[in-house]
Order: sequence, then structure tokens, then C-alpha cells
Amino acid sequence: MFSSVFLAQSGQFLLALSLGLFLFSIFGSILGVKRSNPRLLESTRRAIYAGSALISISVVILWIAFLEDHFLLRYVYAYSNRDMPVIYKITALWGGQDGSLLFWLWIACLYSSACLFLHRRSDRTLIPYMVPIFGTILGFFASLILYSDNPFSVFPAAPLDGRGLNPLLQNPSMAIHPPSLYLGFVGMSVPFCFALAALLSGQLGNRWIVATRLWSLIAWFFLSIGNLLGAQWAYVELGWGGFWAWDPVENAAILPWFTSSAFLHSVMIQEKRGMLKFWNMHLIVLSFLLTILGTYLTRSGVVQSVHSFASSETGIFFLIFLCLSLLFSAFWIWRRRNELKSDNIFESFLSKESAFVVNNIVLVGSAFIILWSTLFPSASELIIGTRIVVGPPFFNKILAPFGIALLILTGIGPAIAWRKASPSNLKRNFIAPILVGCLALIFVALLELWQWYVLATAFGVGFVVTTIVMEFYRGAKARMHSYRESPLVALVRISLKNHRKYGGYIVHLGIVFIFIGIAGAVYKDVFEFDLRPGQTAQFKEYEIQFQGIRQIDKPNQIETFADIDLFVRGEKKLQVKPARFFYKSQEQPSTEVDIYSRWKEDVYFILGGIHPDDGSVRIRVLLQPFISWLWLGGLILIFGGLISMLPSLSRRTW
Amino acid sequence: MSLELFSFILLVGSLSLIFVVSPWLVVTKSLVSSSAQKFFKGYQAHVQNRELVMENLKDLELDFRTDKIADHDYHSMRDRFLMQAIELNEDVKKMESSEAFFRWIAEKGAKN
Repeated sequence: MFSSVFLAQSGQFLLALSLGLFLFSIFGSILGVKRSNPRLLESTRRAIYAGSALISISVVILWIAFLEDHFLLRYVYAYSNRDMPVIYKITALWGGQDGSLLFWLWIACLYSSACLFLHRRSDRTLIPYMVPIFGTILGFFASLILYSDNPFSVFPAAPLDGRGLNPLLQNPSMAIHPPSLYLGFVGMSVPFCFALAALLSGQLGNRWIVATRLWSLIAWFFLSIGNLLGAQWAYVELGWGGFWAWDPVENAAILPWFTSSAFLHSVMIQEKRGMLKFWNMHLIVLSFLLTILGTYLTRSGVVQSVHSFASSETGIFFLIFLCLSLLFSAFWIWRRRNELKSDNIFESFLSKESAFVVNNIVLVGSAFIILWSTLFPSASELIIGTRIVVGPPFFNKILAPFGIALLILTGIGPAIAWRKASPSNLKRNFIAPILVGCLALIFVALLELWQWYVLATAFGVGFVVTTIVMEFYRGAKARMHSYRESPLVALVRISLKNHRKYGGYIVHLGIVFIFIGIAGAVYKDVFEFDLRPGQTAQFKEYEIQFQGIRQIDKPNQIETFADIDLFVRGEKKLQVKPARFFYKSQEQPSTEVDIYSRWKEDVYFILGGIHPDDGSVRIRVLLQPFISWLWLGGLILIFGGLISMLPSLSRRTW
Repeated sequence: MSLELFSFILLVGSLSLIFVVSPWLVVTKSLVSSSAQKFFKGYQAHVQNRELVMENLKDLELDFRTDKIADHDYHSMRDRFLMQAIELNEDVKKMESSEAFFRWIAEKGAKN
């Protein structure tokens, strides 16, 4: 329908025009604030909207180029081919460096426009200070795309077919995982803009923190989904049976999650007690800077990872942007340090305030350990000339105590009193959870699971679940007494009217389930069998019978399946079909696992090798205890996050 | 440059330009004056702070009913929040009955 040249040139033009608009928004708003010119300020806000609309059109143009196979565009050639399914032609937009930067910019545009539009009345005094910050971020990405990684650059002549998307990225999770992660990463720029606008304007009252709270929650929510989907993709697609390998890029994605989680807790202390203002400002800035650092690590070639994009010159620009953002934010925080002093002091270590501070120390401490360990190989190479690699056992060992501390704090934080917990408060709120925690620990010990981490997790799970149940029970009971409601109505109303608090408890429940899944990974079992058609093999309560090999020739790939009947305690449950795909245009094989999921454990099948001479196969089977609890925990966490983000139903009653 | 590309550039460029410069193109009888804006800024801050204090009071009440706060802490925090709420409410009421408020409403009405 459109010519390749038209698509490429119009894409370039839209990028250039949007860059001009973003630059205008920066300088225009600075001038508008100085001269108190409302027309100019309104115009700069519109420039962000207009630039965002143009970037949206350029994204649509790139999608058209993918769907209509315009291989004249280098990016389309590199990440698509004629036989690729439509869904992967759409996801190919973020499959490579150039397109993913455009995708990033597009999301940033949508966020900034939505933020400026929604807050145009409620925060009209902050908006003139937010526009230049948004403009700077958007302008940085637009110029990077236009001058360094342009997805609209073309060949002199169009090739007949493209190279196609990396087979590992041809997975349904890839349709949701990167967008979620980007929504989380880019979403951190909104709280950052609010924070900087508050610093620049000196409007450091309560309003900006209220506005920031929701946007931080949105970014945190998408970051959580993105990381969970990434773990799920690694588990299902990479064929190694794990869900988290402490790969540098995975680490980069989880870092802002830790700091934003810390902020979502400590912001409550600022709202209720007027404390931690200085700290909260740092957390917001840190979360944003970590997203930029993560992008730098992924795109610079500084760290070695299966997930990273090909190293390019782009990295240095991110590093410069990161340093400038750091210096600018640090300068303004230092300048406003007197206005960021706390209104109150900590009165006791046994208080909610202290529990939240410890929670913050654990979260931020974990983030810094992960950051340092991620950068350590590169740092060691730079200093002593040898790359010292820090592997998963190191991360697991050093972070396990932090994880356990975090789990226990998940139970302490909600139940402990504000200001100073009295002995009666401690007794009332903690005796039952401690007892249940001890029972859980004894139960696990009786199963002869002696790993300290597993025992501590068992105690933590019992402790936290009891505190959560008690919270819901007490809230509903208080409402029943005050409003004479039935138990169910009281439970629903107390949760919806205090959705931030009770949504948070549901998130905590999700975290507990995730911990169960992680603890289960300690007891992973591995079995390997060489089987001819008709042969059987046994392991634990399972028996498998290999039926034979089956091959399907599809336009994009050749799929080879091993059909295996699975029996549990002698009863046939289903036929599993682990496979190996061979992608024709990339000439690349990929392993497709098959999983029989149970609450107790997953039976994870990998087709290791095929011997064509005798028709035998090598089957690798992994038994993964409690892994389903991790995914369930993820779903509960998402549900809790949604409840927390609900708009307030009523402010005046509880 | 092809005709279709030229038309596209012309269309998108001019639409963007019109949209961005429209605050200067729209003839308004009176924009809200800077004094009214200043008044609005203060008024808005007071209303928002009042909302926040009310929300804190609500949370405090729930914390008390669920044994999350000691009696004397509850009373002192409640008194502090109530005092703040009363002060803010009085300020808001004062502002709403002031001449500046009516001027702001009038200017806002004229703008719309």
C-alpha cells in the first residue's frame, strides 16, 4: 500500500519534527516560567502532546513496514521475514536496539502526555516545571534515535527477504514481557519529574508526594509484571529449568523494583508523620537513575549477557545522560535540604516507622549488593585486567539473609503500632503469628528439610500469612461493630475503602507465595534417560514411556517432537511433547520444553538430543518443587497491585 | 521528494504548528490574572492539605480500631490531626468567603 521510501522518509521526518517540539518545550517552558507567560507555558505543554502524537504515528509506520515486509528498512530486514507469524512481526518492533529505543520513547511520550493532561488542573503550579524535565527526557531519546540508532535507515536496494526475529524471542511471553518492563522502567520518569518539579519550584508540601504515590505504584506494578513474565519466559523458553539466573540484564531490571518498593513503603511515613522527606526524594531519583543505568548496561556492551543488545555507541550517551541527571538532582536536593527536614523524630525502635526504615535498608541494601555484584566483573577487568565473574551461587548465598529479613518484615510492618509499640500491642499482634510460624517450621523440619533458608522461609510464611489473616479479620470485625454489617460485606467494604492498605496486604501474600516457590528451588532433582521407542523409565512416583519422534514442517520452522506418555503412580496422566525447533532463515535450533504442573512440583521435560540411526532420544527431566506457587504468587501480587491502584471510593469514612 | 511525502510533511507539520501556537490564536476576553492565579495556588494547596489530613484521620481511626496504636498515641495524634483539619478548614472557609475568591470565580467564568 505504501512505498518503502515513503515509510522510511516520513518516519525520519516525524522523529525530526518531534525532536524540535521537545526542544521547544524545554526552552519555552523555562522562558515561560521566567516571564510568567501563561500562553507560552500552555504552548510548551501542547508541544509535548504534539510530539507524542508524532512519535505514535512513527511507531504505526514502523509496524506497517513490518506487516507489509518493507525490507528496504534495515531494521525490518534484521528482525523480520516473510514467513514470520503476524504476532511476531508486531513484537519485532522491540526485538532490536533501534526499535526498542523508539518503543521506549513512545511509552515515555504516552506517560508524559497522560501525566500532563491528568494533572493539568490539580497540579497546575507544578506543570510548568515538569514540562522541561519531560522535554529533556523525550528529547534525549528522540535525538539518540535520530542520530545514532535509527530504525528508519534504509539499504540502497531492498533485499528479497529478511533475517527474521531471534527464535528465542518468538514466544508469546515476549508479546507482554518487554512492554511491561518498559512500562515499569519508563514509568519511573513520572515520579522523577514530579520530584524535580517540586525541588525546582520549592513546592515541597504534601501535594507532589500524593501525586507521585500513584505513578510510582503504576511503574512498580508494571515492573513487577515485567520481571515475573521475564522469569516465566526464562523458565519456559530457555530450557534450563531455572527462572532467574542473576544475569546482568535481569539484575538491571530488578534494581529499580527494589528502590521503588522501598519508596512505596517509606512514603507512608512521610504522609502520616512528616518524616523521611529527604530519603524519599533520594529514592525517587535513585529509582529513575537505576532505570537509565539498566538501559546503559543493556546497550553498552559493558556487561556480558544473553539478553543484551549488540553493543553500540549508544552506551556512552546513556552514561552522559545518567551523570548529568545525577548531578542535577543531587544539586537540587542539596539546595533544598533545609526544606526536606523531618517534622518528627523516631520515638522507639519498636514502631511502624522503624520497621519501615529497616525494610528500606534491606531493600536498598539488596539493590546495592546486586548492583555491585553485577558491575564487579567489569570493574575487576578495568582495575586488574582479569574478569572475575560472580555467579548465581554467590548471589543466592549473599541475598538469602536479606530475603528472609524482608519476608519477616512483611509480617511485622503492617501489624506493629505507630510511634511506639506497647508490650500489650506486641503481645496482641505477634503471639499468634509467632506460634503459627513455629508450627510451620516444625512441620518442615519433620519432613527432614534441613536447609536453614528453607526452615526460615517456613517460619516466615506461617508468621506473615497469620498477620495478614489477622489484619483482614480485625478490619472486618471493627467494621461489623461500627456499621452493623455482615462479615462478608464488612470484609469487602473494609478492603475497598482502604484499598491501598488492604491491596498492599494482598501483595504481601503474593510475596509469601513467591518465597515458597524460591525455597522449593533448593530441592530441584535432575534425571536423564536415553530411550528408544516403547522403552520406559522410572523416577520417584513417575514413569515415562517414549512413543516416538514426530516432525512437522512449518513455513518458519521445522518442529521435532518426542511423544512421551507420563504415568503418576501407575495411572496415565497425559502425553508430554518436549521438542526441538529448527528456524530455517536463521539456521538456528531452539529447545521447547513441556511441563506437567502440580502444586507439589513441576515435572519439566527437555528433549536433549535425537539419534536418527536408532530413533532414540535423550530426555532430561527436572522435578521442580513448589514452582507453581511462584507463578500463583505473581498473580496474587498483580491482583493486590490492582486493588491498591483503585480510585478512592470515599475519603471520609473507613 | 515525492508528492505524497511532500503532502504528508505539509499536513503533519502545519497541524502540529497550529496545535502548538493555538494558545496565541484563540482570542480570549480575559485570561485569569496573576493575582487570581496566586490566590488559586494558595486555595488549592489548602484544599489538598485538608484532604490529606482527613485521609490521615481516617487511617488513624482504622488503626485504632484494629489495635494498631496505643490509646495515648491515638489521642495525641488524633488531636494533632483534628487541630490541623480545623485550622485548614477555617482557612479554606475564610478564603471561600473572601473577595479574592469571588474575583477568581468571576475571572475563571469569563475565561470559560
